[in-house]
Amino acid sequence: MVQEQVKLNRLLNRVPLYEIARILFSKSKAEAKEFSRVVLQQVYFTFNQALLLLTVLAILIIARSCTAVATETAVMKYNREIEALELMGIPAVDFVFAPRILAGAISSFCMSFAFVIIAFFGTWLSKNWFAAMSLRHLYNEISQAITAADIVYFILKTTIVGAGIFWIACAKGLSLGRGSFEVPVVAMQAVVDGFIWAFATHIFFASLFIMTHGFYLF
Amino acid sequence: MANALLSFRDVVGVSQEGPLDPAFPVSFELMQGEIGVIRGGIRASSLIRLAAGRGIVMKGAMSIMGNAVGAGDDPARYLSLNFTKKFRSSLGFCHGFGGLIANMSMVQNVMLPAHYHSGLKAIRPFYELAKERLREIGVPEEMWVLRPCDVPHEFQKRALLARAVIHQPVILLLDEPTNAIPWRETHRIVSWILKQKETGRGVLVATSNDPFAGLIGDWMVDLDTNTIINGNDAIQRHLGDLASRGSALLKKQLKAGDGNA
Repeated sequence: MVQEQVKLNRLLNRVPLYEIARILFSKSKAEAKEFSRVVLQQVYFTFNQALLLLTVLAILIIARSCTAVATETAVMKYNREIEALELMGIPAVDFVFAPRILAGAISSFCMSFAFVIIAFFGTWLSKNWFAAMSLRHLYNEISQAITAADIVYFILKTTIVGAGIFWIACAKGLSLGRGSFEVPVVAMQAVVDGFIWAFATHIFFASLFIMTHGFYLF
Repeated sequence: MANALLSFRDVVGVSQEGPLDPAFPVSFELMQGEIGVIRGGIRASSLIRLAAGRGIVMKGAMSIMGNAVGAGDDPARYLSLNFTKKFRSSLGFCHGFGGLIANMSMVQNVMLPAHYHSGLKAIRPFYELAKERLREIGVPEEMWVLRPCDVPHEFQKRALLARAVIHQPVILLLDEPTNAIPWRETHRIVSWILKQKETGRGVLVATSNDPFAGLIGDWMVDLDTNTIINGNDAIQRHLGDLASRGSALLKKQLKAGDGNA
């Protein structure tokens, strides 16, 4: 009986990845395509220049949003809102999780992009501290150094980190048992797992980039 | 003979609310225009979730709107929405506790299932329908635009009942429908449930309110004493004198014409 209960909880508490993939790649294909096009047009800076900043970014996302999403999901589960949606025939994955995970990927990318812009102007200001350098000159220098691989790595890394953090937050929120006292526990677990995910992903992509392109950051 | 909307044959199972008693396999059939009562606290809530396809059947077999689920079936299959979507729109469920979406207003909560299953068509007709259902169940108009947290529990429960019937379900599963409803208002809920019965719906009620059970039940499964009782008179005898007097009082209130929920 206990085994059956555990089995049931496991079945009801999952955030199926294939379901999210289905939503992203079949339902909103046109949107995803448009999103990718806009992203590629707007990316000017390379993955390696954003490397250090992105570590800070992941911390920001985890501190601000991962806790919020984990807590919200846990409270929704405690209040039987998730169960109510499923009982009404409304897939909780469609209604609650997939939008948050997609938003996590998009916001992570957008925040990274904003960080890169700030880094660009910061670099320009610091260069002008000792000797005059035009903005156009710096822009041309950086543009010439960018390759297609840089852009791909940048997109992959930022979106995967963001989506992963939000996926962990949703999954941890759903893992709530039956007591409201578990809400801070699952929020804390989401933060710890989010950190592990973010750092592991950063290390993985950085290693992959260095192995394929060499270490020419400094 | 008409087919049962919902049938349990020697079912033992487990839901998120907990397991059913393995020593008492449950059997019943819920027909159109019938009210079945399940008594037995948390196990009654567990059974009603099993009936909604939200549990694991360990022994026996059940059939929900023609969808058969047996002990040998893979729970992942019938818990998934691929299976449940077929009959979700034929099934109304009222939670005993919680269940309203916190960031939606009362009226948005009520119209949600009907609007969603319509393919997200124009919102106005569903909005009007939800208002009509809220009016029927006695939720004051000033509460319609409020979120559940701003509304007393009594009216949250009424909104849950209104939501359960918004998409014209064939089976109505009510978990503790009189929970949070004051005694003086219980007869309104009785009146509302009897109206659902008149429309031909099969209603399965999990309750620990004995006078209420004694008044509405056509048959009862008592999970406390592991007995199945058929017929309203037999239910009243089974529940005892105190519950019978409560049922009589409820009936009196109902006849006084105030039960217009």
